Amino acid sequence: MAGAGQARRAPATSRQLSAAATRRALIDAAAELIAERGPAAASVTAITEHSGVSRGLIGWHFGSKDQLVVEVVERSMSEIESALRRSVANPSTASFAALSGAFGATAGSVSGRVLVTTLAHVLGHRDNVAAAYARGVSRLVDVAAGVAASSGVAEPEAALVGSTFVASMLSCGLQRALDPELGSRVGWAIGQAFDHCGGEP
Amino acid sequence: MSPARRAEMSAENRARIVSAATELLAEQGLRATTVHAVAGLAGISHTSVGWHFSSKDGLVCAVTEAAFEAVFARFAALANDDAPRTVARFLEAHRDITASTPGRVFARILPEVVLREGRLREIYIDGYRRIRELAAAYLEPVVLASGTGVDAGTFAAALFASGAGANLARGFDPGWSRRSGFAVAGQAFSRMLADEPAGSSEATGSPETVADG
Repeated sequence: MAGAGQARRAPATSRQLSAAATRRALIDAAAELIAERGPAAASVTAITEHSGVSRGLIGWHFGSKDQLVVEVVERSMSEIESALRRSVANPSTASFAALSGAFGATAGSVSGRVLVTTLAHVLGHRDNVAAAYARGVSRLVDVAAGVAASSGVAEPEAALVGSTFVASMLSCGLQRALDPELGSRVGWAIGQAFDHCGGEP
Repeated sequence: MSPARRAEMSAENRARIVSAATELLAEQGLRATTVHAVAGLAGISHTSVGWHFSSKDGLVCAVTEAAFEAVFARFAALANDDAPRTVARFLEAHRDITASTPGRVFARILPEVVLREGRLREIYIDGYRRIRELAAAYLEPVVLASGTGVDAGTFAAALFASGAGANLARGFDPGWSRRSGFAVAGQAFSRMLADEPAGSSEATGSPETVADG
């Protein structure tokens, strides 16, 4: 029903969609709902209405709604990770300023919002969703730690700098989600500061 | 019972409810904190909680407002201190706050508040703006003296977000050391201010001496 008015999502019945397309439609619908109001808002009923896919197929494809949320978190983390890797692909311009720019550019996307709206669930649970989130964050940290290492920070310290940078970016995203008046220059300033963690002060 | 004694008991009960709710919110967050659990921890009947606070939302707003006031007072005290102003000193105060009960409340439930609309969200928006103002007022002389050209408001908001991140990371990284995270943020932001405009290069010592310089 909800999907019928949207041009890009054909009002197909589940039978007309291939298995892969159904899977994708469910992940897309769940991701959009989670990006709005977190995993708690992505009920089976809401996902069913939003995707136009029948209820039983969630269980068929994912086993449970929780597993669907896990896949949304994994896909969102992968997308952010790719954006971060692209931003520092050129070693001569790789910097925390570039990473913070990439974080800022993805902040309004579905994936960027999922990172922020899933935090409430992650802080309150020790489940597969929280574990998927932690795995995703550690991959983002790897990218940031690589930038720290390439600017002369020694190894155990580089991982710590990377973790603190990623945590700062998530915190910045959270505060900006609360108050849109907080400008993008805040993220920019965090990038500038972390670029001073390198060899020479 | 005399009216005076009754008023006294009522105030005591109210304080016990607020204290229990504060503890539960800091530990479990917004969603998991129920009026029943608050009443149980306070040792007060469920209906008595309803008499003092007409709804869970009203109780949470009262607790949150009190928590923000405590946090404002801590940051304001920092500015009244005679000690030289530094990034390190600001972060030390921020780290103390995140370890205190009022600080744990407001940090713990922020991720839940951004998913909601209503009065609690308004309290949060105003509270975070006030904290950023206090941070900017404290750091302004330090930022201006550095000559880096970044405005104090942006610098202070970035530093505060970074400190809040050093605290937040415990939520998804069990091995996280808050102390180390705050230290990294302190080094990054202190060095950013110590950085002279292009052309000058100065041999400097440890991050601590830069921070306190």
